[in-house]
Amino acid sequence: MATSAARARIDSPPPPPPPTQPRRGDDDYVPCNIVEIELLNFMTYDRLACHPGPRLNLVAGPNGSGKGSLVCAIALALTADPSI
Amino acid sequence: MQVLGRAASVGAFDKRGEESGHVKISLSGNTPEHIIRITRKIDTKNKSEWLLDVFTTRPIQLLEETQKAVGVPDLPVQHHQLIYRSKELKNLEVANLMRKRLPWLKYEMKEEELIEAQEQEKTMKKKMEIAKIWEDSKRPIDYRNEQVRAIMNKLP
Repeated sequence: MATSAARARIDSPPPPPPPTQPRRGDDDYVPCNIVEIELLNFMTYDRLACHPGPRLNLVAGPNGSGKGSLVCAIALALTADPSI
Repeated sequence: MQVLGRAASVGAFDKRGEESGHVKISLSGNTPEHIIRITRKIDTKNKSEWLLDVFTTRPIQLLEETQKAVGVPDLPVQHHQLIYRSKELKNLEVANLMRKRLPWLKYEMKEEELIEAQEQEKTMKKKMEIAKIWEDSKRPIDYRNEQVRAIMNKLP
């Protein structure tokens, strides 16, 4: 009797809410967009502070000016292993 | 193969001639005021330090958002089911503990009744002793009263 009652009590869980597309805020950013990058003594940079926009961002410059280093900085801050 | 393709150690990203540096990334949250700041400090000794500044995100919420970000579709569903099952299991455990504790509660009630009965017995015994002492102390007086009554009857 107790076992059947206990077994009946375990019913299937309610379904989770359906996943929705992340909504843009009033500032046009989606949650977890990069809103600021700050570098100090990183590779070729002494100090850098920039504010990427909420949509497409372009980094332009001649060879050796640090375009790839900026991507390295983002990856290094957001991931654990530098050998990625 | 290194995706970054620059170096395999953290210290190599430090600027030449400098002891240490850092990268700070600010991420947007659910509202414009909600900012998540991630700082990674590096130095030439390959020592690295993480600083994570999340204002209002609770650890549970952070875990759930990380699961969504990982990109496995079933992961949040399974996590949700696991949470539900854990609550059900906890309820069953509590019910089982209550069922086990019920005989002990009954025993404790009976024990209290026993203690109360023993106290009453002790009280009654004391009353009996007092009553016996009183009865014993009355006997000499009764005897004297009988003697006096006998003498009075003999008087003319």
